[in-house]
Amino acid sequence: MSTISDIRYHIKSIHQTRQITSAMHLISAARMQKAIRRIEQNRAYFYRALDTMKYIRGHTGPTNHPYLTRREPGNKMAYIVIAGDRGLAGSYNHDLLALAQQAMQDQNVTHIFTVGDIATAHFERAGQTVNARFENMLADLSINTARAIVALIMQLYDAQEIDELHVIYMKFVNAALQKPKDFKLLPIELADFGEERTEVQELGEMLCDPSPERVFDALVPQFMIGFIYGALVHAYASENCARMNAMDSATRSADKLLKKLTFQYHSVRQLNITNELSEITGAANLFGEKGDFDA
Amino acid sequence: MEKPFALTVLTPEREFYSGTAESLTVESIDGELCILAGHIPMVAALAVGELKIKQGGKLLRAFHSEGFLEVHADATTVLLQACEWPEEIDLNRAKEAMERAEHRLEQQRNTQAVTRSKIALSRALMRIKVKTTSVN
Repeated sequence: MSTISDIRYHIKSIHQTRQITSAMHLISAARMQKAIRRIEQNRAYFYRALDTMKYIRGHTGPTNHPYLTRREPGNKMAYIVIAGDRGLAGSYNHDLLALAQQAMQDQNVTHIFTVGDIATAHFERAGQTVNARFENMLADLSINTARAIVALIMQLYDAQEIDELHVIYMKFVNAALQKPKDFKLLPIELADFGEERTEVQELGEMLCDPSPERVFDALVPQFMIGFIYGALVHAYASENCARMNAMDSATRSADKLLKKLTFQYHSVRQLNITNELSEITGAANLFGEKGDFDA
Repeated sequence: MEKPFALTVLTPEREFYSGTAESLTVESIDGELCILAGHIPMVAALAVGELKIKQGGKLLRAFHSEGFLEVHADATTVLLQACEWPEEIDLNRAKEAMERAEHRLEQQRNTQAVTRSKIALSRALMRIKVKTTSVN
């Protein structure tokens, strides 16, 4: 049986851990809320760009835009994998990397870009080359990060070093559901986007300034930046949601353990008192029998 | 007074402006563009430049980077990668960005890289211009 000081020590350490997990729970919840606002904000931007691109495509007929034209199959595939910078987020990183692994199987992968320490570490451990890494920027995300990623991939795509680009990220559906996604961004297939949208804005006749082609060209990077930024905020919201749930259940386990230990502590304490009392009364009785001790 | 129209300016990060305006001036990829109430439906691609909104007789100025503009009968929407009021612009950061871009331009030979550095430079210069010439 553990001694009373052992139990006291154990309770103290569990209590400290509980304080950490409950603080992390609150922080993750706040970060998730912030990311959700960003998802909504970005959605308006992204869908406007999408609608306009669809409109121009619909009105100027088929054009052989390099970003819309499929290159020959068996081509050079590139992947952007967005995971977290830290662990302690339940199965978030694991689920995402499992999907990445599965998607890359049997593919001619030429480039891997990672966002988040965990993703980089995963590919490096597996002996794969990571061509570019973006770390520690999810918490304080700015559009510049999305812009840098897009500049990099467009450069490679223009130089024909990559033919197809996939983005693997955790889509934040709602607080109870996040889905790992493998999304083909390049070449762009406009019909693939906006599947979950309920209301589609109908655009009437519009003038394109200076010309439909040039507006379209200018929209392509905008659209991609919007998409990448969206994927990053979705990933960040999902990561914090997963961490929030993990920390919540850790806090609850700690509470359960504390209750058990407190119970144990009291029973040991009680037992010690009983033992002491019986020792005292035993000793007293001994003196009493001898008759020279007036109890 | 000119007739006002509904105007929204959005970036992926926030709603920059929402309200009415009597006129809107932005920099399109072909030059300055001014929108008044009753403009025909239009979509235009925007470069880096200065955003000017005339509202209630006052002129509001801001920095804007690349984006696009949509004019509809009932509403005008400007979508931009970045948009900042003069008081939000960090002058030191813009100056640093300018130096970095100039430095890169001296070294780069690749056309695409040069184009990107030029855009970065124009962003920095425009931020400095909007910040230093603002009176509001």
